Amino acid sequence: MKESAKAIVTLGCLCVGGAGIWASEPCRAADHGDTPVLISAGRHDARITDLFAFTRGDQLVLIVSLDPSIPPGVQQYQFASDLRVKILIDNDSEVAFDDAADLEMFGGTILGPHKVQKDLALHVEFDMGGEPILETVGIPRRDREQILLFAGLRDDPFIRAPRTGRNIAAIVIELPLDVVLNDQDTLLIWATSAVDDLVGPFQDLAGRALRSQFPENFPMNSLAPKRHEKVMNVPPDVIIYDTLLPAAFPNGRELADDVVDLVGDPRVLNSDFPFPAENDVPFLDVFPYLAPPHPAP
Amino acid sequence: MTQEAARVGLDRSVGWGGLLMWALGSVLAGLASCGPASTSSDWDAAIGFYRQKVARDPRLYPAYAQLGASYLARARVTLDPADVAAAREALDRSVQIQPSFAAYKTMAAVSNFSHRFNDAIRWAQRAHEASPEDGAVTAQLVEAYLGLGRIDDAAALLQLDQPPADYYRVVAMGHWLAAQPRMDDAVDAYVAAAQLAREAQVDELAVWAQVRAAGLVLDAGRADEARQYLEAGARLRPDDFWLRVHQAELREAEGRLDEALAIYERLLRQTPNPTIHAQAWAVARRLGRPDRARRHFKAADAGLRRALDAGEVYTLEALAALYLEADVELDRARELAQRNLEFNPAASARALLASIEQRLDAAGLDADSP
Repeated sequence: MKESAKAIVTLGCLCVGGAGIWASEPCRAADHGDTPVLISAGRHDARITDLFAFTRGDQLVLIVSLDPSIPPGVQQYQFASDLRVKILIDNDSEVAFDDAADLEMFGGTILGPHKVQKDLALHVEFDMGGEPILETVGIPRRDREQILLFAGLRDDPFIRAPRTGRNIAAIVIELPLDVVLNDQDTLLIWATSAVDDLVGPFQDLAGRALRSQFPENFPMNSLAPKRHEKVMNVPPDVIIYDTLLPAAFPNGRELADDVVDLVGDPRVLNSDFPFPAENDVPFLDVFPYLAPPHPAP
Repeated sequence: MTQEAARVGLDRSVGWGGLLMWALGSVLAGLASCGPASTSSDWDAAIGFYRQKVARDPRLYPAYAQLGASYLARARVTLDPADVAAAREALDRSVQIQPSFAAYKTMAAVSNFSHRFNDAIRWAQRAHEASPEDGAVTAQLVEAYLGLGRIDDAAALLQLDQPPADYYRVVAMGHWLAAQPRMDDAVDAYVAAAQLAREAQVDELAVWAQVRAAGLVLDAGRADEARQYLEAGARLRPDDFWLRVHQAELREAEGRLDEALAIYERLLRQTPNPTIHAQAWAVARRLGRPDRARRHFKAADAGLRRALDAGEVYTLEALAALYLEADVELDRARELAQRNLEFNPAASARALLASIEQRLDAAGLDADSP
């Protein structure tokens, strides 16, 4: 090499935009760091960090947390108009509860994993002002008026030390449970996020907490749950929620569920010091249930 | 002596270089449709794409950040100050609408590229607050500290008592080692980084690290070793811009000057870049082709000055080094090198100034002399 031709070689080109290496990034939420396409594109706003499903009275509450990298001090949040978030519900797939291992790990056994498909869907998009627009699939028109929707900045509900004091972009939906149930009390629930123009029908998928974000499960994020078993030989990554029982991970997921401890995966647990067992701020008793955002430090 | 040469401790005469390959690679836009990009025209498409997106929605802050990243990526291969300015403008707009990790991080990258290292530290610290685990941001900080000659501050970030946790930290470690200078250790770090990238199937980053290793060993005169790294890179991304540049430099080291010049000129047809013109000038001069040498020198001079005329500082060192090697405008070279120290007080910048002053003294051209 011509000696003088070597130069100031900056890392900037490696640090911006695509060509990221994400696999070694530690988990910062229950569904985090698992979306190479979004990370490569710098679309952290579309990264799903958590999915919750629980009931309050006769209402089903569904919460999707997004964007693990909101700078501290941000007090207002604008959702991007090219972001599409979907919460999908299968209300008729048969689930058994007699396999102790599956029960402990997944909340049940899906008997027809390749048949998992949405029966109802809640699509959230945003206008240019960042205001949410909700569209539904499979929900009668008369019932849509009963749906509550919140979208905005909130405290990160993930119970994990590194997330203390952090905020996320939240989508909270509440609707009557009987609108969602079919002939059984068990629901399969998952969420996806997608950005226009990026590859695939969606770029992130969240189901059961602390599952698809681990490298061995990365492919889940670009596959519909019904394909997880066929392609990856694993059960579909969905929340199994027997609504006759109180939500308690892995049966649904309550806000107060300390999934880091419950799952106990050392890849997450080891960096959880000082191992909080509850959220850093109290949740609300009323909609939207998530605590208000942390103020600027 | 170039910054790189200074960092690796090579005692060499100052060439036209200090040539600023701020990037040895390119950045994927993250769009499948764009794919790996190496030349300026590749980035034209990405820029057009994101401009369309923000035209459709003027508040689409992620697209502004992506637009800024695309302008920066093009600037890395062209050194065009207009692209640097456009990157800053797009990122400013993104942050105004919605502060975000992506915009902060890209701002840090723009600042490092443009040798505004103190700005880079400020932006990277904001990005670090937003995403403390991000190794790429740590690497940006290391880069900025090294640019400022603050090697100990860089070391503190690297947590030297622990093995680097990811690709970016390994690369940052390589930079820090090169600054010691501990060249062989630095090469090992880049090779290890390349392996990590291969395992993660990110060829672009693997090639970047391999080219980086090749650059160091080329500086040390170990052409055979450099060839191995470049061949490994070529198997992954044969058209990578910086790989091709280094292949040309390898040809130079091997005395295959015609081939080197041909590669440079082929690259220049794809992507105008004043530092590549400077390299082509040096080769053409060695080949005894004065007309081509003159043409390349004029293009290098004009391109490097263009950035300065636009208020940028990132070509100060390169232009000073060009004048020094060409043995022209030495007073101006000294002025440029002195000003460069205000922004980039690293050892290489000091070495360049010393070399210029030595040349002036030797020629009895000290401006202070009557």
